[in-house]
Amino acid sequence: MRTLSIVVSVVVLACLTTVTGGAQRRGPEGFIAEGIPRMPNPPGPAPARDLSGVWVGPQDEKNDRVPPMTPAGEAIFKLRKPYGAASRSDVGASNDPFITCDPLGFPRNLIAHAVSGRGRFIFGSAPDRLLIAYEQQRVWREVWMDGRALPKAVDVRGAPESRYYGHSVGRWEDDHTLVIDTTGVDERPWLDEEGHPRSTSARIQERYTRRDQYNLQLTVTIDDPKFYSKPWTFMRGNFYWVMGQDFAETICIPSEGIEYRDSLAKPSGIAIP
Amino acid sequence: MRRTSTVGLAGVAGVLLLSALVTAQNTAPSTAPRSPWKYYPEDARANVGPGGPAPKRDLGGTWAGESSGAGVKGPVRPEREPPLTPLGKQLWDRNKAESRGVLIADSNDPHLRYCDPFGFPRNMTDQIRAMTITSLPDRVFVLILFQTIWREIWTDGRALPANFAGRGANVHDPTYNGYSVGRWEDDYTFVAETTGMAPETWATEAGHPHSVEARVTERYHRSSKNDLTLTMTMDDPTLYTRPLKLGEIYFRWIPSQTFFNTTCIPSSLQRYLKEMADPAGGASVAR
Repeated sequence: MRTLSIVVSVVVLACLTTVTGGAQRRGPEGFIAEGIPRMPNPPGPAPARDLSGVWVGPQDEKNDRVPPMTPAGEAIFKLRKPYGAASRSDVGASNDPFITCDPLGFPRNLIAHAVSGRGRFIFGSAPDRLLIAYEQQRVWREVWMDGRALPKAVDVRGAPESRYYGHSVGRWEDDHTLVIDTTGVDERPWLDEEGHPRSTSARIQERYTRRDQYNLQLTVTIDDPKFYSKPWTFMRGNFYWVMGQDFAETICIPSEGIEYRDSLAKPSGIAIP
Repeated sequence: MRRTSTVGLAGVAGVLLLSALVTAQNTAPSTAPRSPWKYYPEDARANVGPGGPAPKRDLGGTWAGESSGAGVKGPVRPEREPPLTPLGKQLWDRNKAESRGVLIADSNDPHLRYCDPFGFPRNMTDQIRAMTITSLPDRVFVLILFQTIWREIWTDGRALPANFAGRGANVHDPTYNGYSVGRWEDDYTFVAETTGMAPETWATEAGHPHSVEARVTERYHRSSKNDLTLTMTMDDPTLYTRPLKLGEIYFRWIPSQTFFNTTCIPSSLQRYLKEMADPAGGASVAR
């Protein structure tokens, strides 16, 4: 289901997303289209407590089925009209916020790789925190590593505001495993292309395990009792080191998305077969 | 509370956001416990003085700009009487900017009407709230809090691309953020050069046009621990008779290193334009 949904997304969002930049043109020293860079084989060992650099993926995704929703979750889900094959709705009738290039939000930005089918990100650092910059939409997040606790609430007096990409803390579980916990995500973005909801109180955990020099495994679990009956593995996949260490510029342009929706998709009533 | 993080509807939202910040400024420092997740403008304002010498070759951290509520000095704005070529004059006249007295309903500012990305260099001169800078071995990242977007400045010695038209291995597509390279001029001054910016973007809020061959120079000078000044010029002989001064922008170190995100939401903007801004005045919108 997810694969098909992404394929449909690729067709539709190719119209909405501007991809520029010369990354794919860089030739043999750069990224190779299938996502497996030509690099020394076998890879060297993973450096300790170091994920820095550009990664591409996910590949070999193995995700759990979304668990049954609570009545509150179902009520929101029923209002959502995805444009994917699952719903057989058309693009013009969809209320997916990404149709108008609204922010994807976290963790949808990890799976919605509009054009390439894959996404890239890079780890950097600033005082007391890790920074993650994503190729998709050119957005970034910060992950605090100073030992602070996650906010207990958001959007109430004295508490921080919810954010599209949430509030995150991280810690090294061992020399090769970074664990990031996130909460306080803005509820407006969809969790996935099918329109599943996620609440501001959801706890989303990412586990990055660097198996070797060039392979980084990511598992994302979600615990959101407000909307779901139990926690589940949202995604599980592998990311590869990018030899060229560069990015394309992949941005959904609102004026193009809105024009496409209003002048082409709506009048033609495009239905996904 | 939510307004400060997500409304961000360009000019209009600027009013709302400014209101929120003014409210914050007029409020006496709270005695309530501080959350490490919140930005307190009064704390940033209390951080007066240079704070010590600037570290060498280090711009890293989160910096407050003019619109942060931190009391940062207002910038020197881009030249309002630009030295335009005839072609530049045509494009300048075509761009209907709100800051030049055009109603929102009559503006064709792609950001004001759609939340389209500012692109560079406008994203360094408009909505200057805060930015985080981080250095990697081969590049410097500038992470801009408005729109939560980033740009990269390569420091590995590569040359800027020069060919943005046609096809071929050496041709590069224009991009919203252009292609940037940088170097340390001295221990406290980092200089970046950028070209290849998509010409459909405006160089400034006032609608200064630029061509894809425009070359923008940024000079980041850290004069103390707390003070960073960015000076920008744009050389674009196709549209300007001499290099254009894009201004001087001042930043102050944020002690908590925390800020809030502000994002222009396209769907919210469309509702606002339909229900309020367009009915309120102006003729049809020309794009």
